[in-house]
Amino acid sequence: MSQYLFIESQDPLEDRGACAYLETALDVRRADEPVTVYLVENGAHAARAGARCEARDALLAAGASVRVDGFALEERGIRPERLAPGIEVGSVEHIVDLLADGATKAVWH
Amino acid sequence: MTAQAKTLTLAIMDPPYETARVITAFRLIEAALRKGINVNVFAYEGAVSLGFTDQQPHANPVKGTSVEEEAHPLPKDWIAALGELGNGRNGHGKLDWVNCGLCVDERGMLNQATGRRGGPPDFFQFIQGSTNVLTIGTR
Repeated sequence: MSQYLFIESQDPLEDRGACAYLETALDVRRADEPVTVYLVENGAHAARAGARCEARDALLAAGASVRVDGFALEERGIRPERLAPGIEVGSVEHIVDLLADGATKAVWH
Repeated sequence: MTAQAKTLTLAIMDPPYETARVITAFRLIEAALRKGINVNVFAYEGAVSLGFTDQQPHANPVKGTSVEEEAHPLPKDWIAALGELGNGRNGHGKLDWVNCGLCVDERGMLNQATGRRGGPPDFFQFIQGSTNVLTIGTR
């Protein structure tokens, strides 16, 4: 069974393309496909509890896995306890594990 | 390394120093190699500058540091280190780094620290032989 990995490197709060990208991930999830969204680099800003990001909240509500690269959090001084509920801290090692699963279809934005 | 070792292919196109995407790509490559996963890298466009041997460190007159004190990181050294890591020994995967030859030529990046010259047919072969492919495009 395929699973989808959407890697978001841009901050949706400053990049409209990132918002559209997360909405695409949401559409895939609503089609009942397993979806993991990985926030890396400036995408980590969207993981904060105080960041208003409707697509992020909708993804979590729809059962998508939303993770954020721990390295990106450290770079930006974002403490894990300040993340939005439901977001897990991940790593590039986990991204590699997901990629190494041949059933994963991965896209980078 | 088993006969069924997995292989990931990454396509990258960003030049050095301009974007975090380069660093994330390097981190992914390193993580995969350490897991015993073979990694193919197709470097095209600006990414062929990453391994350019003529990169030089420099001092920083604003901070008052010497060349040695500044210890300016050079992507060519990182790529060389990834190449050493990706030698297929000690449980590590193998790294096959290909620079797009046309991109090398038009940028004059003829002297490369590692990797080999290639082109889109190599990328096509990489894709065919890979467990997965990740393209990290530029903005």
